[in-house]
Amino acid sequence: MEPLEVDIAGALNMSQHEAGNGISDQLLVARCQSDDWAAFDALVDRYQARVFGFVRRMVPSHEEAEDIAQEVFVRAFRNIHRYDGRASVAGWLFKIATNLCIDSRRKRSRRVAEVPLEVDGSPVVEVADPKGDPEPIVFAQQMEEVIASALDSLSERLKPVILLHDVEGLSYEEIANALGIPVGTVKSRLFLARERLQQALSEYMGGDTSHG
Amino acid sequence: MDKKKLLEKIEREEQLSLVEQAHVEELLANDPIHGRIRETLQALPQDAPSLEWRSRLNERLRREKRQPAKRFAWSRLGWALSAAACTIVIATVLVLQRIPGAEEPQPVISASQLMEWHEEATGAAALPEDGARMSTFAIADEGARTVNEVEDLLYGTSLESL
Repeated sequence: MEPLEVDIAGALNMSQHEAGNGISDQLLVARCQSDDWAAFDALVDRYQARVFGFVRRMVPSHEEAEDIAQEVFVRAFRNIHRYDGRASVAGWLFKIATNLCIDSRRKRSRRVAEVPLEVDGSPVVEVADPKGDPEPIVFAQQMEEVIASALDSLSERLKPVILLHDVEGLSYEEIANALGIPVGTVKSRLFLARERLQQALSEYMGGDTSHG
Repeated sequence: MDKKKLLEKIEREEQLSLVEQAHVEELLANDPIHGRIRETLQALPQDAPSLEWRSRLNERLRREKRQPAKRFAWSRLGWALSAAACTIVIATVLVLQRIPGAEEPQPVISASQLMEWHEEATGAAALPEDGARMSTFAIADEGARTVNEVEDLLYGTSLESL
């Protein structure tokens, strides 16, 4: 596969400190493809928090998330010469991350049951009850646990879609590319995932489940 | 539009009609509850990896950086060994060809040629001392006749007739 065609003239003598400051992802990748590994460090600096945060929400344990996030960057490093620039760098990294998370989930053989479809009924997902403690910080922490629990209830089809769109801000096209599904499927899955979360969180968000 | 049926259809991953697709897009973009879900997720605090995590990653990447050079060295060594092996084989063949008598090509001998040589050898071995009774081979007959002519000349009659 041809390396990414980006004009890199005059940009190859980059020190470790200036790596990544105000430089586009595409140019950083082009530098990596020219074996400028300081540019790869800059890419890691730029994406490590997002990738780790995404992976952490995809898998149950912190340790597993650390291992998978490391593996994401190691695989990106190994395959940087095959990156052709058709997808965004973020989409490419999240694609690797999603695949590793799904593999890990399958290996664990832990079947996560999806929330049964109860649009007009009460929420079925059992989540931690944030009521009872008036302290805002504690409430926020508990609310985070509630949301995490609701996210965990989503299947591996729905969870990456809503995380990539609503948390990571990827476009429908980027998600479609990362997950290898049509854009229309991305939209419908996002719709279903939000409806499921809305069911699970309606008690705490004061939402109306009977709209539409 | 019946939302429950729409969700069931999405759940089964069935193809949505154009109207249903438009309805889904409309709710995704403008429905306040969908907007609130999105805001809630965006407001979640982001876990950051630790410095120890980054340190371990740097170490792994350092090892990865060394590996391509190793692979390259091994491949070069492989090519060098292959070339050396080919050179040795070719040199051995050339040396063997120059040694006298070594693996010289043998001519192909037919069965009839062998029979002819056999008959000549047999005939030479069985040649009688007096040259008489050499009826098998033409050359022996010639020899016998010559002897008889000499005897006729000397004695007036052939010994055979005695």
